[in-house]
Amino acid sequence: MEVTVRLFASLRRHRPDLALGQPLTCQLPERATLADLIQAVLGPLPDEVAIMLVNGQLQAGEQVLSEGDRVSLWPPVAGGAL
Amino acid sequence: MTPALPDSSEVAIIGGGLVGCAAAYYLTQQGASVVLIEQNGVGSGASGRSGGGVRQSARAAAEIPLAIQAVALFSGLADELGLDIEYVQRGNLRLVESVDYIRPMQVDIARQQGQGLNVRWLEQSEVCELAPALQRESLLGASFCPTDGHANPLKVTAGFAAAARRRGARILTGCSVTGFRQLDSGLVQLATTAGRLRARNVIIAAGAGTARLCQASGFDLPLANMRYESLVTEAVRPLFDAMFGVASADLFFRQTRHGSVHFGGGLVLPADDETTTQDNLAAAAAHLARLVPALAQANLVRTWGGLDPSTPDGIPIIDCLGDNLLVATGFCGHGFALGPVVGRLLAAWVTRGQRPAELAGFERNRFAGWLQTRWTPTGSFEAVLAAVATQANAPGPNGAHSADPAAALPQEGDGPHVLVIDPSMCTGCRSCEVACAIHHDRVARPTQLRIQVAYERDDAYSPIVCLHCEEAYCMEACPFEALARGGPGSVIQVVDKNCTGCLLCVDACPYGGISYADDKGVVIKCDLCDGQPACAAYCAPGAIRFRRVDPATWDGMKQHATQHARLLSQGLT
Amino acid sequence: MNISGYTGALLRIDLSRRQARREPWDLGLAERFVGGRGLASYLLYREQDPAADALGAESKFILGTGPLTGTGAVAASRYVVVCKAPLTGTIACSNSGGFFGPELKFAGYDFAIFEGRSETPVYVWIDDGRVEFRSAEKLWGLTPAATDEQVRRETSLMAKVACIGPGGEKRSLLAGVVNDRARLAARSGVGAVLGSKNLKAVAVRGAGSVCLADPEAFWLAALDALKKIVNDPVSFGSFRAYGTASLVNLINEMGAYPTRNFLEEVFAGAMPTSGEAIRDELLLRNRACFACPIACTRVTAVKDGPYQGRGEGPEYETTWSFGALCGVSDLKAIAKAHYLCCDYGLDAMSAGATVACAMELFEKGYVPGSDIGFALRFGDAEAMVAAVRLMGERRGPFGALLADGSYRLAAHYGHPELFMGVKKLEMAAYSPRVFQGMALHYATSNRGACHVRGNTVAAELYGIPKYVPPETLDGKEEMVRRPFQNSTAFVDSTGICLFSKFAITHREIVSMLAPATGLDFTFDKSIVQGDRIWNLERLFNLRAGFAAADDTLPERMLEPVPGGPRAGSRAQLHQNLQTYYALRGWDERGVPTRQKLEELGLEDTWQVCR
Repeated sequence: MEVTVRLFASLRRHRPDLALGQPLTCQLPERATLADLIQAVLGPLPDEVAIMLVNGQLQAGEQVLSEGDRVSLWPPVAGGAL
Repeated sequence: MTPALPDSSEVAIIGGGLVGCAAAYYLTQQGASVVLIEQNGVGSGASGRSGGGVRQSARAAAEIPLAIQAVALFSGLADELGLDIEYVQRGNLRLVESVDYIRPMQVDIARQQGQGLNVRWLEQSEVCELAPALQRESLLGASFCPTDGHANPLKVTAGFAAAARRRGARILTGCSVTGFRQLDSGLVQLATTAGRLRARNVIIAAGAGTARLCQASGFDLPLANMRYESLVTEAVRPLFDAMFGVASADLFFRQTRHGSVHFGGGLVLPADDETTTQDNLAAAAAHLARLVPALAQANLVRTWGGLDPSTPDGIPIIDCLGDNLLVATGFCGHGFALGPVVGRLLAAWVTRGQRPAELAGFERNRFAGWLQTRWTPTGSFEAVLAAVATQANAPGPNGAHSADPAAALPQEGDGPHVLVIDPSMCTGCRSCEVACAIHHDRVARPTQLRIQVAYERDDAYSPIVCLHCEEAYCMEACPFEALARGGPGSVIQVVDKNCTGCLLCVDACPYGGISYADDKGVVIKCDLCDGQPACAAYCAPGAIRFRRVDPATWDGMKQHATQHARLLSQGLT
Repeated sequence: MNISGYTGALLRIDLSRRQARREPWDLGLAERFVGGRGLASYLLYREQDPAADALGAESKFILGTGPLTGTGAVAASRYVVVCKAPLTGTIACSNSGGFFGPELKFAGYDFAIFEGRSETPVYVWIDDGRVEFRSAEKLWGLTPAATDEQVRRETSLMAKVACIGPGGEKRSLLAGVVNDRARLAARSGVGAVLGSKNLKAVAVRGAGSVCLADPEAFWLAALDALKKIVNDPVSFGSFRAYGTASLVNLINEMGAYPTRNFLEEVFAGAMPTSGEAIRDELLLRNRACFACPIACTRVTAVKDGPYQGRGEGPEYETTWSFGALCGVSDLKAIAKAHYLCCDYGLDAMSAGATVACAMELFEKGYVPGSDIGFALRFGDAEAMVAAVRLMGERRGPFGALLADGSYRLAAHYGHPELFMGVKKLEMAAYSPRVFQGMALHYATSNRGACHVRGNTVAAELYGIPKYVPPETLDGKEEMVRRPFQNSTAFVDSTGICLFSKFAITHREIVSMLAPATGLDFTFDKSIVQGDRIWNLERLFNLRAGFAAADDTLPERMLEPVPGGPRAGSRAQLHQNLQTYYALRGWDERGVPTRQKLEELGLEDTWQVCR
């Protein structure tokens, strides 16, 4: 199946060839998870990926992906206040 | 005779240095019409002022493949240009003078060998066999690359210019380009002091003028012009034929065809002029005399300085600013060898319309992910190491900073422990001031401080603190022996009972390192907190580090402090 | 005994009589209201009738520092401006970092209370123990940066200056107080209060010390907090690298990025206006406030073109208010609008939101183009910047309307439903239609729809302190109340910046606070102190005439999101407001019960006013 992934903030430096917001299309086996996708795109660095959206919904690494999913990844970021 | 500026040209080259002249030559070889514009004379900038080394060794990984091609090109260059360029291919030795450098040098040799370079370690005896003129006791070994060498940089540059001219290139000297603009038609328009010129392709190879020109035209390149200083002796008997450098990177030397020894090095600092500095030259001359005793009595006949832009990571930017607008810059003081091959690759880029594979890795966007956009480029042999240190302060793999700022630094100097200040890292938060006050006075306070932050602009600030100079003006100035060396190393401390508060030391210190404490009636200054400075511990960005200083850094800090101490009372927080 | 942490003194300045005097304040109040926001609010509550006119001569305003301000504790640079808010009518407490707050402390004052009104423009020069009133005739009309420079030239180069810009002089209800040239205590219109008093600036120079009760323990606690911040990927990673604007793409991707005056929640032009783009195109370097390891301030410049300028920011909120909210995707225009707000001394969040509101009014035909003088459509960058100029200069009748914020603008044209805020304060860049915690917080925050006092997005997105999905309703009442609203009330009262809280908690803060002051500050007490301060502010607002009916959201937020990943989601405030009141110990009208007041020791306070 085919999914797209986009990298934001400091994750961008792992793929400097991609313009800001440019999606990367990945071919994955059926039933692949979000973690599998990250492994395929960024290699083993799960620590740096903190926020994962699949089609705009926050998901965890074990989430199973489907054909055409739009994945967006962030390192830890925040704003406003706490 | 300078030809007139035409209205248009297929290719326009800005800068009559080695890269520009070589590009002009190779382009005319492809039949292109070329106009080259040079503000002074051919080779009048960094190219003509270069040290002349043609080496592959001791380069950053990204440059080694280019340098190997460059050496292959140099072999046939005299024939190609029809000119004796005084090319001598008898190797480059990078001499190791201190045990601290043996291990790093051997690691570096292995790295270069891994990239296919013929380079190896020479023991002391082998070095002296190869170059008997060197003082054996001063050396511990060297890296040796037999295919390296040196040449006459002015002749190479002039040779390319003449050959290009012969093939029809128009070379205009005494004409400056003040700006460029990409037109909707796809052409690039140059504004020059001799009028306008439109070109289908433009190559910017303007050396120290590149940053300003690009900035004026809307392109901000991370460049800083650095000054390199050279000296030449009278002609002496033949001593050696290889090219030499030293592991600490503050000296290079070679003997020219007619016998003079061309050498240089020392402190490389940001500058906008080509003057030379007495201290620098004296240090280089003393260093050379130590290594080559035969030169101790030789007369110096000339000194000069040259400017070359540096990039933050110590390797050049060779990139396109637009589809038909190329730039080659930031050679960081070691571009002579690369000049011809870069010129040839730029010519190929223009002719074929696509980036040659060899130039991958020199794009300017490699700096896009760096934390700070202001740099303190080093341009020296240590540029790569410095770049590593800079990056260590950017968010790491998990976006976090190393908890121990000292851990980010790969090597220390061999001087005493002092507070080593890096203004490029300072965020102006004044944590150092308050940490110092709490440590010494048990209160937080904004005055009567031993360390203070000087603000130059909204984006430039740095701490000012005692540098614990080896030759301390403050101690010389004090009539009462109220300043004394004490504690570990060379710490200068105030002897309160002797201090009369006369302030002679405050006036004598050009670095802003001493203050007066109203409530105590004595002067106060940094005492390095018995070896655990509070300011360094509390400096989150790592602008203050307590470590052994190397002389070049120390001098740089002194110069910086001299310029900035006066800002302390300007209140520009 | 030496007073530590605090200076123990306040400076009372009577602008009518041009008199100033130093007064001790009752240190017994410290353990009840901490300092800063809490103590200044208490002083205001005690000294001013909450129902009085915010811009009347009898109104007061207080500059206050926290016990940690200026001590060197990490990120302790803050001062507060407390007064009755001209924009909202609630209590106002706007705060700002930089170097002004610590300087006030070094001059020997925890608070400065300004009373009365000067006949002519004046500025106050506080030089340690000496206070001078000087003519500000020549300063009138100057930008904050120019004012700062001129005042320092006339007083001491080392002085720190807080002032108002032309917006505050013209009593714009969006005006803030600007310190250190470019930092704003921005919200609620506090700058208009200074304008109404003819007070252009306050310059302070302090050569004194802040004592520490136990310097060794304080130092170890400060180093510990520093280490935690430096090791935190947000505080020392994304804040430094991208500022808060790293959120632009994230909040937009999740469909919670209010766009075109909250008509939509996804903005197609987010990418070119994101933190990544700001860093690539505008950033010159980071800088820090006093004693702050984070250094989130971003010195930026637009180098050329029509939007040329230089300053600090924009950050997430103003990138949004002039960007998505106005439908504008031209980053340079957004930066320009932001720089202009700084020059006029206006709250850039409310300013952007007001322009967005005007755009909707215009597009719907509710405002005739002749009133504005040009077409003010969503997405028109040039018109957006032009509207900011109208607002800042208060030019013409329409400029005057803009300068007083979107509620008055929308109401003037008969469409108050187009005002996107609560209690007349404009909302921030987190849609309450998506984040249910934000919905409840916006509705109940003591200064209107501000986000910093209960930024539940931290829990509902980044998982700090723990992840609770944005759509969840269960448990949001307690989450909003305690770890967010009450906690900010405590932290704002200490002098520490809320941005430190991504890495440190009340525990680290009290472990600095106790040795700094020598007082018995503990974690458990801090929880009660936060609650007490929140309730005190609520009492002020109740006295000012606010009621449960004001704890609500604009109608549009109760309607479903029209599209994007969160289509159909809407604020479900009515389901948890009463539970929230009950948890707070308030009755169904939102009034603290007698029992709650006794528990917090506020019974007398409530009575005093009655």
